Amino acid sequence: MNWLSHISDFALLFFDATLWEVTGRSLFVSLMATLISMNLGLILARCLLQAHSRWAKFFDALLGAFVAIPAVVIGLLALLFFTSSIFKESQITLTIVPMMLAQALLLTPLAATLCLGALRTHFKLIGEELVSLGASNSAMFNVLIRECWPTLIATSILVLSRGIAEVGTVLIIGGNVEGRTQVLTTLIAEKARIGIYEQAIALSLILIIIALILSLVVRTLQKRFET
Amino acid sequence: MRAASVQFSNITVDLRGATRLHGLTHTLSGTGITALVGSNGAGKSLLLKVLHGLIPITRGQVRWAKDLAGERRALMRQQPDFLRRSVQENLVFALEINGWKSNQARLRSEEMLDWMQLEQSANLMANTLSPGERSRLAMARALAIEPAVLLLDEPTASLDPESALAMESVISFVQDRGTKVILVSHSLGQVRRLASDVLMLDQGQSIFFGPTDKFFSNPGNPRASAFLHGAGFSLDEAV
Amino acid sequence: MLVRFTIATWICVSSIIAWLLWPEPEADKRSLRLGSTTSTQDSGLLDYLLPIYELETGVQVLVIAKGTGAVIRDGLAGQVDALLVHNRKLEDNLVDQGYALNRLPIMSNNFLIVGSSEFRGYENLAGLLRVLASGQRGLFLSRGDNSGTHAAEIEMWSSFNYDPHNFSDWYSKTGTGMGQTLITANSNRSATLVDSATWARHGDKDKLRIWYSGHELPNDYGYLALNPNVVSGVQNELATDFGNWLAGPTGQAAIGNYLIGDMQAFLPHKTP
Repeated sequence: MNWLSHISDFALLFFDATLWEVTGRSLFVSLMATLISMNLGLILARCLLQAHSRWAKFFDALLGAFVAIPAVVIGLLALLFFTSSIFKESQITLTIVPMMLAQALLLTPLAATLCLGALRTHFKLIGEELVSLGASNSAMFNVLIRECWPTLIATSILVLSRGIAEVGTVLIIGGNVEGRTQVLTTLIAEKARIGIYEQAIALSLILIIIALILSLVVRTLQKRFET
Repeated sequence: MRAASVQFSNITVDLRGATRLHGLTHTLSGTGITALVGSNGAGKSLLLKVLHGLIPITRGQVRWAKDLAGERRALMRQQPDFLRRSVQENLVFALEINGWKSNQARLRSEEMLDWMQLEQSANLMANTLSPGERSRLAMARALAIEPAVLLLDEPTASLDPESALAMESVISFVQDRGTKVILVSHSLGQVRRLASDVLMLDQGQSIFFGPTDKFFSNPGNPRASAFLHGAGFSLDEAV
Repeated sequence: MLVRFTIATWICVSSIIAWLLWPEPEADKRSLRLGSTTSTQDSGLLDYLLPIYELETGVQVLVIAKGTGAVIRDGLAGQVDALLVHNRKLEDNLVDQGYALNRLPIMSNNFLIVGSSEFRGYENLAGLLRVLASGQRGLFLSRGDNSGTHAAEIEMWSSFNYDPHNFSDWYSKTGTGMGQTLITANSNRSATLVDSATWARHGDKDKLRIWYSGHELPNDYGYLALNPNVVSGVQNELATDFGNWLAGPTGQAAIGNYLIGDMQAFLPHKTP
């Protein structure tokens, strides 16, 4: 019954407390990063929604380009910042705070671009009517947000997924320090690097399941919004 | 009693490189309903939006009468859009945008729902209404804010004859109370029933402006006559 | 509405950051930041050793594991309090330049040259290196990443008067960690230099066998507590305490007891 013992050994991995501690940290870091980046993204969207100047168009394009910025670049920027400025003396890089902030920076272009897209779509639908009713720019923005809030929730979840799945930023700024800055992706990278595949696979399964759950929630929301 | 409601001089509107309205110059009647007629693409809806202020004028001037100049104007569009909220909330929204406080907005919205016979649908999602109900809601929304000027783009297009007549009596009523109504209509019968003066556009140019009787009896313009003919009108006939 | 959301977000975020960063007077002072090489961490020794220390003293040791070069740079920047590395030259440099007050010898094992199981091993290191340099035994994989292992490998070549820059294409750099390099070596039957602890841990490399295992390739680990007079931000007391424990009877005994499989992974400096 060799395969049975293999499976039970594998299943036992899931009872390791570290696994769940790391999962929890991953979720917390990315949730905070998502909150910050959605906020910044909406602010950017507000600025760009009704701006038609050349500056605005340029910034719009720049934002789109930054969606694809490599995670490691953000990680590096964050590392240089936190180790050279006033934070030099502190041990802040041993906390998850720089990770949250760096990941937020990584996710903001994505959040902004998606929010802007959703708002623009709705603007095309009811923008003229709102203007003819006498809505001011800020009233317009508020209404548009209310009109497409399921889309915004779906956007948040997409942004969250991107955050949980990335490894470049959190690895470089966090350093994968056990008990402090270790998250799912960095731990998987470590285990794979050493060659302890069973643990890496168990962790990957958790990551995949989280991704699937998030994706399912997005789909359900989108369906509900169709009505 | 005002002599004239609005005077526009040389209104020209260019959109996306094409001139859509060419130098329109008219003074619309003070209290009567002005009808805008013409075939599709003539620029009727465009002129309505221009008068509302939605679309900027490339050249020319619009001057409203003294008592209308700073007042609220309401536009009922051909395909009205509503928010993803209930019927009543849509009305409340329009009111609040125009300065009503929430309590008063709620009360007024209920008044309007009553008047336009939409009380049954007050809590339904606005986007689930039938076309006829949508028109009634759009009218309710336009009237709710007590506009001094009412711009209507084919308000009875999706209504059955009975509801259309009911809507027409609302329009008359409102006009009687002093609101200036400018109405785009494809129904010449409606024009005849309601309007005191008619402005006919053809490809962005004005080809007739004058009292309704004159329009139906002797428009003085071949294209206008053809239009009337095409609509099944022989001159001097009532529908 | 956006304004309200923004305010709510930033109140939430700031309070969470404050909560995370709030200096807990007792708890955080008792964390030693140890810069370690990846091979030491990968050997599993620290997972075994550190809980013993924490139980005894209540001090938590945080391991920041990178390549030797990176970890030393962290030390110079005050990002870690002490180093446990295996590059004698660099360690001595640090002491000479005053960055560390002294170097405590802690433990050692040795380096092995492993290669394809098709070939037999060599008793004589010089002879083996000659055969390798002739290119007759396939590829040799170098870590190429400034790690302690890499430094030892360069040292090995130069002590026999070889210059790695002149090697032809039988010599290849992986740039990856020890575990990964071993996996690569195993999959394409190449040779490489590996420390005995990592080899013991990953001895399931069925296509490889030990070609040389002898006293000519020692692997010594030293402990350096960074000098607080030169490097700011280091917790010197914690660092020295840990160093003394490592070099003292308890630490040394524990190190000697750490087995991989049924083999001792490291030889403590002072056999108790």
